[in-house]
Amino acid sequence: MTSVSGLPRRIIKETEKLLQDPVPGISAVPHEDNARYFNVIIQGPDSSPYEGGTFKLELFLPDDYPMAPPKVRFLTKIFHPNIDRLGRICLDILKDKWSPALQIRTVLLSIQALLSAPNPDDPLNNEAADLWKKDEHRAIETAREYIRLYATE
Amino acid sequence: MISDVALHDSFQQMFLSLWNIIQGGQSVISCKICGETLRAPMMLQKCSHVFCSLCIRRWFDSNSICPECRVPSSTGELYKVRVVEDIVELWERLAEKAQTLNDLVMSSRFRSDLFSNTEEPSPYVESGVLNSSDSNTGEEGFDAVGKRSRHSKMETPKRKQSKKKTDSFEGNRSSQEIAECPICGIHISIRLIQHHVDICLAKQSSTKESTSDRVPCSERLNRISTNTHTESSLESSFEKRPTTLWYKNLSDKKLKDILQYYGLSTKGDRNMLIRRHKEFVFRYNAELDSKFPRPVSSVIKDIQEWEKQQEWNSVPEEPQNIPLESSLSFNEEICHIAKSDFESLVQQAKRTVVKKRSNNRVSDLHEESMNNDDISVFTQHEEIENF
Repeated sequence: MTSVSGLPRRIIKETEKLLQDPVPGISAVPHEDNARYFNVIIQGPDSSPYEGGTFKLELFLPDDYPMAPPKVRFLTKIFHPNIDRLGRICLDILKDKWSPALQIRTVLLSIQALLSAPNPDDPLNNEAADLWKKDEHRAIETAREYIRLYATE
Repeated sequence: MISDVALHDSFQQMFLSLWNIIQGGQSVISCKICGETLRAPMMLQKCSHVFCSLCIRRWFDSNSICPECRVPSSTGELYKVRVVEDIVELWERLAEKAQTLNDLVMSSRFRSDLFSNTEEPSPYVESGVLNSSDSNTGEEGFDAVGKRSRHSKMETPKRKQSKKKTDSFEGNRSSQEIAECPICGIHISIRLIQHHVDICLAKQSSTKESTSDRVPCSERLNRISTNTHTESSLESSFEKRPTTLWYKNLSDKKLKDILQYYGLSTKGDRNMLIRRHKEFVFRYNAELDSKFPRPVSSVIKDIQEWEKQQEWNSVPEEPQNIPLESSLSFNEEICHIAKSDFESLVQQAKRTVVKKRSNNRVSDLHEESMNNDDISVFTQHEEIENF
């Protein structure tokens, strides 16, 4: 009870909405011990290189959320030009383009969209980005191979 | 009698659509930053987006775009919008009344079922079928509408049985008579009053607990009427609106003097002093932006509460910030990867140096650039470790 009362109303509302009315292909569940920490699962979007993959992520709402963006990272290994080996994500709204009008929901939707549309021109994983530019077919093959190895339930 | 029931039904349908509009409207009068009902709404000059004064002031402390549309903007471009504040207040009252009405509709829904049953007496009425069908209608029709449906569901079935006969015989007469609810003062039909009073009582006891987080409009008004000069007293407390300062140029002593001037605590380290001053500036200005500003002492009290909350939050959550085993292994993982990255970078740097030397082009300038490379590699390594 006390730990909930210390939580801003906005976070409580967002959590309720996420649980009651989840985004298709995305699940976000708060951690039992820390309501600011979410276990996230994103399904690879249909007709994308990541179709059929199940990706685990962690999402943390810092103390100054929503003034500061949530911290999100992939826990599942993924071959993607904008996601590095540590699972860190290159996404503008998670950095300088953050706005407090955005929500957990919109952030996760953007990450899902990033899976549909990898952007090798703004790379975080140079190896993936180079391959994407040189030989997209092989890059997608590699991404699929990663899914077979790491992102299949 | 039939027309009465038909009227009832159409009224319920109309109310249902009205209720949906009211529920939907809640998001319109909510601040996109804090998600709560707008408090002291401020409009941005260029894009006309509206936020709570406190929320947008905090945001503009380190940002200069509109949170909704990213149009460049700043504190200087904020405008009070009284009409929005009035609408928000009206809306809250409307929603409150609608909630009461919803409770009432809930109860009358049960009653109308009862009426239709007594109208064409059926053998099932006495055998208890009525009971189950009643609780079903409650679930189907209105569960989704309001949280209070629970009350009605729990309360009605028993009384229904006992009051069924008297109600149905007196129905024609009593539906014309109006009584006043002793709790909320609403005028309603006598046949519904008892149920309404039950709901009112239940609501009163539940709101008593929650009044601490939200001050109802009426209370805010009372506060004003007892202290009619609050706005002027707040305005005149200090010569002008306080603003955030160029803290880098301020000594600790000066900062403490300023805090003291505003009646704020001077405890804590420099960061805390700065945060306290900023928070005071935001809250004080937000208070001035509201229709009924409270006195400075309340703002100071709020800040003390806020600091307690912050401290309280940071103490137990510090270790929880890294709640997962994965985060521990994550750190190790980072170190491992960072180390290998670092080593390969060192190797790379060394190779370039060797190349340069073998080309006999070693000069002071190159020596310097090599050193710079090393430094940049080092900072990169540190960054990774700090992540």
